[in-house]
Amino acid sequence: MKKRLIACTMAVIVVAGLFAGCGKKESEKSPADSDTIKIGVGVPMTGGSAELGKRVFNGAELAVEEINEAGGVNGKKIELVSMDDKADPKEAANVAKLFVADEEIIACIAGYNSSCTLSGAPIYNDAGLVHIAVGSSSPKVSEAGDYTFRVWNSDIYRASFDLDLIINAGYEKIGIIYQNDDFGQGALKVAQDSLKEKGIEPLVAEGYLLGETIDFNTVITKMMDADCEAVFAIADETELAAFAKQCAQQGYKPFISATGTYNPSVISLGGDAVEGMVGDGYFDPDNMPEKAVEFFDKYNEKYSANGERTEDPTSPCAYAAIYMIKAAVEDGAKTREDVQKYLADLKDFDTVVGSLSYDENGDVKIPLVAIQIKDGAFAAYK
Amino acid sequence: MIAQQLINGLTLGVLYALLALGYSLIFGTLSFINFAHGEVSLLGAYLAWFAMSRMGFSIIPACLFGIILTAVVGVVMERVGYKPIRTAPKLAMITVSVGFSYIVQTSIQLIFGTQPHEFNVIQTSSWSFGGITINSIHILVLVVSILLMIGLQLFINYTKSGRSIRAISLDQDTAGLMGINVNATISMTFAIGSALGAVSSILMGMYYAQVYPMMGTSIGNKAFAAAVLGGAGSVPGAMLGGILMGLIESVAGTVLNAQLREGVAFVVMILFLIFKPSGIIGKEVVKD
Repeated sequence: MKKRLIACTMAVIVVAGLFAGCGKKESEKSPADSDTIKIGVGVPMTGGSAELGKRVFNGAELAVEEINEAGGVNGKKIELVSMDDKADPKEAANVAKLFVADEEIIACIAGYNSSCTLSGAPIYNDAGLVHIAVGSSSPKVSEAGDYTFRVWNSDIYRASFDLDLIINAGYEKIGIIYQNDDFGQGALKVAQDSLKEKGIEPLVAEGYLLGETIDFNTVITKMMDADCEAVFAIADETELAAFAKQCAQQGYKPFISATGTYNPSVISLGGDAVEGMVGDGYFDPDNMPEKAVEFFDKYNEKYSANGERTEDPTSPCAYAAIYMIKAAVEDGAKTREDVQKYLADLKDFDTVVGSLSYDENGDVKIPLVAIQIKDGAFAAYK
Repeated sequence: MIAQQLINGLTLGVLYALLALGYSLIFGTLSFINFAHGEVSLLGAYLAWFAMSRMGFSIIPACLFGIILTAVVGVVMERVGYKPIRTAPKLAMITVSVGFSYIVQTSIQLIFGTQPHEFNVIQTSSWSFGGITINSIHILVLVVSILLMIGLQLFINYTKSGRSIRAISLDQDTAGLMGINVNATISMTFAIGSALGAVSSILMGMYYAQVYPMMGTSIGNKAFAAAVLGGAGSVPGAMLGGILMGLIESVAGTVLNAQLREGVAFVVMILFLIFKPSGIIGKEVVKD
């Protein structure tokens, strides 16, 4: 009896769900008809990149709250629709389909991991929905389509910047570790090309799998054996800190320049082991622009867990992306296509991370500064 | 370099072995693979981290706190999830265990956050001689793991409780008829398996100096492969399988490259399943 009751309830729920789905389809809606301006946010909220995905979301949320408090855009409030791509390209494609199907969504901030951005891109481009990727640095994103934009530097720019720190310091015995996905392979290619120009052959170049690899001891032993004096690490915070820690455990002290250095988690996870590590940052830590200070004050007041101050560039970039979409709507963009046209022509747009202009690939160049971890904090590297 | 790689491999191997024991003990008594084992074990490291960094415990009480609580979670999981369906087809239990693995992993993310935490508890000092470097964590990992493995072997072979575990793994029904308390013994198996897993994950947290939510899944899968390699259900098999797996990975990482080594564990597992399904020292079982 009880089982039958449960079965009936389940059946009703399922059937109701089907009808609910139908209801939506029947009424053809467009972004302009909606009472709010809907913006999709599709980033990893769980899984390997959850922490960084949350920062994207928080940055976007902060911008939306500000805009809504100030009365919204053209009298309408902005509403974020959040989906979790779990840092999994398969999920990212599903998220893209859902966003595309929701006719009220005018533009998206979607894709954190390059692989996810790339798996969603064809869907967004076919449907003609703008997605701005925050955090994807693969050069392939540049060619993903007219509707793919990003507020993040391409690896071509970042990796050569980080590698130059090693080359300019005069090191020639170089080892490389890279995250084996679109992000890492893109950066690796850039690094190999620019090393070749200098006539340097990396002594060790090994990949690792995001979320799978935690043991770097084998690679480290190889690097020690090859006598690498400097390591170029194409890695994010978790693996970067693990790598540095294991280097320290093995008594190996190379000069490390990494793409993921500028992240407070590197310091909190790595402790003494990451001292001296260099990399690229979006702000000069010793001389932070006023606008950025203001942003991080607000951000940390709202989201800081256990009082730790974050000055990670991910959230200000997401924040800037929302303001770009806002500017498009203010400019009179009514359809998804209008937003694309507006962004494609966007020049010298003033944001927290500097003045940004889109090139023909939907790429921006956010100015970089060299930074180093010194006494457990970021400092300018000279 | 080879000597150093063997040390790296051996250290990793004993950690796999401790974790693989949990898979094997449970497979031995209930003949199903508990896919939640990796995640439950990770709970041990998280609880120890929590006790140390948030509750101000010192290292040993914090580790005991983590180990005991994980054992309790293991037992509760068995009572709530597996006991009611013990007579159902094994597929049901496997499905439930996959469900548990998601529940535990998501709970970890909800309770402790999705970001990795630093797990830096002991000051490491290292000694170099003859081209190899050994540090205090290597020694701690090796000593604790080997002592636990010897202890478990003695427990299984020379105590009354150990005998009940062996009896149940031979034939659950007959063991019950002979007066062995089947439920208590199975609970004990889960407690021991989860506690060993907790020790493994705590040591792993120390070795890698961090804990993060996905750690249980990736390491758990490799330990599972190690259990299959050694012979599922066999306690010495799990130990041997784990250590071999660590060494194989380390050698593969040296000869091939770092990213291929992540897959080597599973290639070895598949080869064993094809050519010697009973593993290195598992018994050939003909069932039903």
